[in-house]
Amino acid sequence: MTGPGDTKHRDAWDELVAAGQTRPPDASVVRDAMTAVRGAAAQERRSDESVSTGRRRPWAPRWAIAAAAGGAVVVSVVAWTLLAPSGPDRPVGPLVQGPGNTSTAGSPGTANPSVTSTQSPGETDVQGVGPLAGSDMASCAFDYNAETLADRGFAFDGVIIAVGPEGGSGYPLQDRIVTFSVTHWYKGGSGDEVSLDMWGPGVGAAGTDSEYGAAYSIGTRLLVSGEPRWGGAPLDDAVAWPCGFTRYYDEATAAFWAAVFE
Amino acid sequence: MNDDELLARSIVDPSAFEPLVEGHSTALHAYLARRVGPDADDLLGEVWLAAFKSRASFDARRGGARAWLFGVARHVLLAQLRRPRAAEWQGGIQCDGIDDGWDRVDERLMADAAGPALREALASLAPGDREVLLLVAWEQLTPTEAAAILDIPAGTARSRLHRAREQLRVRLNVAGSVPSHASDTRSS
Repeated sequence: MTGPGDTKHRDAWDELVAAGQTRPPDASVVRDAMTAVRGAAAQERRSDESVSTGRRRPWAPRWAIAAAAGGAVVVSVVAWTLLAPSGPDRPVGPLVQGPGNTSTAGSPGTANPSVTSTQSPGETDVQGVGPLAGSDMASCAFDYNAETLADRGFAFDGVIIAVGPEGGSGYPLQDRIVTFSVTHWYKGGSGDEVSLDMWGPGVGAAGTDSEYGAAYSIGTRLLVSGEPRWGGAPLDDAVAWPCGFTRYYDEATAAFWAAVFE
Repeated sequence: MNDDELLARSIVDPSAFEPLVEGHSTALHAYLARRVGPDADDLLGEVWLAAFKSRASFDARRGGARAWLFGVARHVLLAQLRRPRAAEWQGGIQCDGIDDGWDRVDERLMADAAGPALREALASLAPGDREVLLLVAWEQLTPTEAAAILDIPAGTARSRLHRAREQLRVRLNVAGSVPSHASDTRSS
């Protein structure tokens, strides 16, 4: 390291920093941005109010409610705080719109996926039932139901053909870039293949190799939905959502997804 | 309530988003202005709209709210550079098939009478290295935050930063190393 008295170094860095100086935005620019946000918020409220007309079912993320109540919530989008793993629900068949925020098909907490293999993508196919194993190791922002599913930016039915390197920067869950051969697009894309970030392959509920990993391998067929990480086009920096939004393929669930996205 | 908590709360209470606009507009505008000049005024609103609409996609595992907001800004900026109007910026350095708008930045540096040696040194850097360097030097982000924005491993960001600094040092023919504020010591 160069000492603080190294004026040559300080000058070089200072010149670089100084070269980036800009004037602060005019107050009207920030005011316009605020107005735009308030307009979007108002539009959102109007949309929510349509709930009372029956056009839209209300929902509120658990973690957001907790935050609104002043709880110390560690935010995350799909907001997995990894605090309280819950048992995988078993969503076979169409979802039933029940009261409250949660809507699942079948009985929650019934079946673990029929994992036939653990780690090592490419060695043995992994195929289960219901939410992708391991992806339930989180407290989720949104419950999986017809409405929240329909809101996702992209959704498809596909088979994993490659599990790439880590897609993130040392994240706790070690995302991977996973490539799918797409059988059918429900929303947000086209083409035969797609690559996106997904939490790393592990053993999910049944295994031992990865505490938080999900159970999949090359050959696993999944129903995948998610969002672009930064907004924008559906597949821009796409991230598969856990918490039931990515599930093992079965015909009944596929039919349900088809109905949701019709 | 910190920024992460404000983002969380804004899901059910959109007004909680407003302090973020107030608190980060200057930094985001500066980021945009350094890259597209006066167009930053228009882009800032786009950034905030995109951030508001995609706030449910914020993932604290991938870095804090500040890094996420810069990621949204970068996404909006790249979209802007892809637009037909960006044809006037042809000649910008290609980064993964995308014009990174470096020519525009260089023009601004020239207008601000930045030293030619510095401009040449910056222009000589690989786009990926330069982007990390400038996120750290100009936006006062940590290498880890820059990594989150660029969706690269933190180690890669640090090595890019190190390489960029070394090349700058050689080009500018001065001895030096990254100053303390460019390290990862700042809490995010």
